[in-house]
Amino acid sequence: MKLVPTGILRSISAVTKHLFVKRMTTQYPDEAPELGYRFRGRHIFHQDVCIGCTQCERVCPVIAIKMEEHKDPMSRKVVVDRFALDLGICYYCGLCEEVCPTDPKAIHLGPDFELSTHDRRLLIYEMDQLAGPKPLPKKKPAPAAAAAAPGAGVPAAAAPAARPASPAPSLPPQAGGGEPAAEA
Amino acid sequence: MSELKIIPREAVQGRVSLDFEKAMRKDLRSDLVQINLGPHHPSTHGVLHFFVTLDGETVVDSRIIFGYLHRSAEKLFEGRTYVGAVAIMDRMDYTAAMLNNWAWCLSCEKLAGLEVNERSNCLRTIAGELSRLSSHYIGIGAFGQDLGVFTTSGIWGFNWREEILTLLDDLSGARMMYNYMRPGGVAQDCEDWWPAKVRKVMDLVPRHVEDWHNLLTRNEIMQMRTKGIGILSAEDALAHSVTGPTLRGSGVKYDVRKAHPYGIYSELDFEIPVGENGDCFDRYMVRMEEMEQSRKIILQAVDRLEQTEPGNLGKAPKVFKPAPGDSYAEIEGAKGALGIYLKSDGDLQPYRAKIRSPSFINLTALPGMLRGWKLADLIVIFGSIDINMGEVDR
Amino acid sequence: MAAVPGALLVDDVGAVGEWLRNLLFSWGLRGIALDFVLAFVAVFIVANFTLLNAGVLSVVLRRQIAFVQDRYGPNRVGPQGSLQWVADMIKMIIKEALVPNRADRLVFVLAPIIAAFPFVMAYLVIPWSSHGSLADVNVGVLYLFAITSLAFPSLFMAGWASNNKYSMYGGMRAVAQLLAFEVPLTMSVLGVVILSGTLSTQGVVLAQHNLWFIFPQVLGAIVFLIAGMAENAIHPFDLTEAESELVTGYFTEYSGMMFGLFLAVETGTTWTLAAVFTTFFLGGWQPLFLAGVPVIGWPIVWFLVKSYLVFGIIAMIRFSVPRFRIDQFLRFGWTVLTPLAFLNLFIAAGEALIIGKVWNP
Repeated sequence: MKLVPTGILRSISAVTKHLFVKRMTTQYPDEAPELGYRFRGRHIFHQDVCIGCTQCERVCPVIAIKMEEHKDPMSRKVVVDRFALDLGICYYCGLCEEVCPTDPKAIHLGPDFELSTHDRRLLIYEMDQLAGPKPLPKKKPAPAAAAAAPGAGVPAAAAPAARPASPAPSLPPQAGGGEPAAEA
Repeated sequence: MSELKIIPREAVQGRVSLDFEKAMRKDLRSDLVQINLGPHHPSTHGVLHFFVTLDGETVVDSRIIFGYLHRSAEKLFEGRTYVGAVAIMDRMDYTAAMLNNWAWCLSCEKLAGLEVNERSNCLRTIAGELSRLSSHYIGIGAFGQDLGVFTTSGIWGFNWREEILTLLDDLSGARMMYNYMRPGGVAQDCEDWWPAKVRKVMDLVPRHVEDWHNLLTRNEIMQMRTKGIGILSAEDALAHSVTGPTLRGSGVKYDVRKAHPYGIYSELDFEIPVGENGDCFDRYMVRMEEMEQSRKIILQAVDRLEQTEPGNLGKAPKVFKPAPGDSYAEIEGAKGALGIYLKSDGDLQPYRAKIRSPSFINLTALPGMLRGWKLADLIVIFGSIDINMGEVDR
Repeated sequence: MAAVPGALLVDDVGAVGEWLRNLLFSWGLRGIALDFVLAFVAVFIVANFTLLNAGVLSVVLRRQIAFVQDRYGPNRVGPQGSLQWVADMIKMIIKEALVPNRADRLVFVLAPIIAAFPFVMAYLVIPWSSHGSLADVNVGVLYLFAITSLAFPSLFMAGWASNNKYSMYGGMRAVAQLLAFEVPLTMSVLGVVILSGTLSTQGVVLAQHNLWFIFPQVLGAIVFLIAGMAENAIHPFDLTEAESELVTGYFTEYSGMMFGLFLAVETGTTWTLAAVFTTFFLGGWQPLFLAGVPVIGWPIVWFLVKSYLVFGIIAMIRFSVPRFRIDQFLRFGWTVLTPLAFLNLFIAAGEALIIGKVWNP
């Protein structure tokens, strides 16, 4: 070893400097964590927008969605009777949201991540538990303020500006407008 | 463990230490101790079980037992479409998930003949290199912890990684399991403020690397613990098919990004850091240099990204049936060369998907590297090859 | 360092002692009973201080390590987390103290007790204020090192009795390490003894009234610090419990209050090291300025401030430096530290010769 171990002294000084750096911890239950606005948390389902195509049920890789619908003979539209989502088995990949053909998407993933329960059966959420604010539709351009806000994250489900959708050109063209899935 | 054959002392070749030779003297009778390191252990980078035979403190033989994190991923792939399987691929090397995405998409594109356009490639490059940075942050942080710097280096690594995870959260919607890339492109475009944010975060990287250099690299104790320890010669490394920073630390200049370029790597300007001796210190320095090179790549990719048209991501089909055949594509993952072999029989789902996992193959070189070193060195050597159990066990 | 020579310093602890003696006398206690009660009160205060100090320091340590790592540390229990140690102690007391099946039961249970005794007994000869230490032994230095050497059998007992290979490794390393560093530890202090001319700890402190010994004995101070950290198995010399290798080393199998005792002793001996370092090299309770302040406890305050500062420095070294390997470390101890300690002895003898007379008030 050298006579004066400068490397060790440098380590100690590097560490001491960190005493005066700003803390990186968010004191969680008191402060809200910062999430990106695209954060994929608990799903939000809108029964009035859903057209009952069951694409989400079919694309889900773990079969977490179960839908029951019937065709209303009067208005000749499909009405969704039941939309159950097993949040315990879902792994929040977002494919259901991606494949949903409606314009303010009928199913999308919101910022809520505080989903712990004491019983696994309580994790199966029905339609009423999957409520939440509607996202902004793609066709209208998103307001400048909402689009420029990088981190709106609020963990509670009642987030007012939860999901401003990106302006139309930034999404891949085949994900909107009911275009059928392309074959290679 | 009854089938374990204890290697007789006379058969141990190579690097032996002084007290080991003393133990071979006939008048000093001593027993070999067999010890289980793990799977519950503060430093095995995940659940890995070492069964080590020790003579005093010197490692005579070691046997690696893995599989504690096996999730039958390759079987799961057969039940999902090519697009649906991307989310499973995230969970292999979970510290650098974007790179796993990329490997899968590359192989699917080769199988189905899909093209990826410039903007998607730039986004993929940025995301992939950000993942490599985040994996090295953890790798070097854990290496410092194995050396004994309490938890300081580890927590710094995780703290700095938060900045990168925020970036990738803004891009893809998740912090660790991105599910971002698709065969033929990426899932969504970035926001217009995102490239500027990337540049800001990249400005912080040299400061973090400098912090680590101050803490570890010039520290005399760290040099005593890592220089000359755990030498992996270039011939041994090549014989074991070791890739990644472990191979480059032994002096072999092989990087998949330069050898078989994919994406836009052939047009980017970056260097490949190479070590000389193949000891732990060289592998550590290779990783530190790679972080700087990743930063360079990201900045160049951001420049190219800003010149492409926003929103033009090319065609990424949701469902496709590739013609029967197979494909193999390899990328430079964070731990080594990550390859996916796909075999299709013309159906929506792959017939067989096999992952060539770099951590798994690097791990096979480990018992040879450990023989003759002390118990304390075992931890350091194992930390220096930086494996991820998600990749080893799949 | 212009402290007033010893005779003029306010003997505050003596004044309090006098008041207490008069109080007890007025209650009717006489003779041996009076002395016994006084001694009991004094020892009670100091013994409780050592353990409470160890508790509070564990929180201070955790907050310091957290701040160094850009985070907060425990800040929920009590104001700024200061009562965290109470929560930890309650948790440890109510946990079951398991003895492994084939462990050597008597040795296993005795080990933490044997670790705790020397730790508390060392505080008897540390001089707190101008009145002196609790036990006015005129071979205080010798007593100190004799007592602290009693701690190492407990490490080995814990390691061996646990019936666990990790613990055995920790215990073996402990024996080698602690034996190796006894020599530089005692040698480095001999220089101070030469300069102060007495083996009594109060005498050493009084001898520093003109100049703290850290200045003529820089080498001795550094050797003492390193050897002391090695003796107490403080990181970066905590190879006996190298967490990343041996889980917790020699006390892997301990749980409940036995583990709590080991933990308290570990933090406490770090502070003891800081206190002893202050006594030998930083002038003990000698104030740096404002010497004649007639406030009760003023020298004690100085002593505590200096000790906590040294503790903070030791703690900072703890989180920033990697660990040695055992054979490298032992080689360092025998081939580098011991010769340096002998060299320091010659330097001290030379200084004493050149100055002509010892630093006596």
